[in-house]
Amino acid sequence: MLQLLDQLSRSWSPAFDFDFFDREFSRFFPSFQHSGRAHAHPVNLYLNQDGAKAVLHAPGWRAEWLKLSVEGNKLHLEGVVPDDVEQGSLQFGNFHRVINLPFRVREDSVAASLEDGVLVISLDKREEDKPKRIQVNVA
Amino acid sequence: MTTATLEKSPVAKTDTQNSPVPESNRTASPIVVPRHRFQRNDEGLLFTALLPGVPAENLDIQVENNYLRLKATAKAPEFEGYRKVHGEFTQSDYQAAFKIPSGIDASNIKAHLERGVLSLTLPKLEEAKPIRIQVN
Repeated sequence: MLQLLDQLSRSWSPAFDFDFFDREFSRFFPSFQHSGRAHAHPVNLYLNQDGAKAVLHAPGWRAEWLKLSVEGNKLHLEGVVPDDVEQGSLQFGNFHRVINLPFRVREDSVAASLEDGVLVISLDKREEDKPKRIQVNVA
Repeated sequence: MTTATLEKSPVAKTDTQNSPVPESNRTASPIVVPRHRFQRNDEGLLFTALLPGVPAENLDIQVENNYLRLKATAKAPEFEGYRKVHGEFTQSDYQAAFKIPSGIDASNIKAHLERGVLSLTLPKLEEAKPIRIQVN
């Protein structure tokens, strides 16, 4: 038994690409992490072949209090309330949400708009993550 | 300033029987009571409600028989060719109603909608404001 465990641990190569696994897993199951008050800022996610749209409710928030960043297939959404605004009130409380997308994001494609307290983010897939159609030539 | 908690608020929850909106006026889309709170101060009451996605033209506030009713329709973003893969909210219409407490000047209620947050100021009637009596 111990021998088997030993063998297993040896076959566990440190070169294993965790990112790859993460990516492949989230290809089918986009996952969500958040800190701050749960669901105070709910997110809906929409996908198509070329990218994604994320919609976040942030009533009362100003664009300059919201921070967006992408890192591979992760979208970080952060809201930081300035000190002179009442924290933990009806609409305000710092939050940080991480959305694992089923693809890696082309950094220069990220666009966001905030209107009537709704933040809409569009993200494009990197070219290499887009599905490719292979032409079949019939001889 | 005292803050009423959400649970103690006088706004009727989705009580369909006593809903001030007649059956015929109800729409098929889900209707929810928005997150809201009441705050009391020396000037009167302040009602705040979160209405994300609601532009001013989609908000209707009426005062009738001492009841304040508000109805709002959110503008749902539409993404053609996209499919929803994760949803934490459903796009819904908002509705709330509450009895205006006595001592409020119902004709001077002011509404302000900014960035999806509605603020209603309900001022006290002049005669309802506290008067300080000078002791000689």
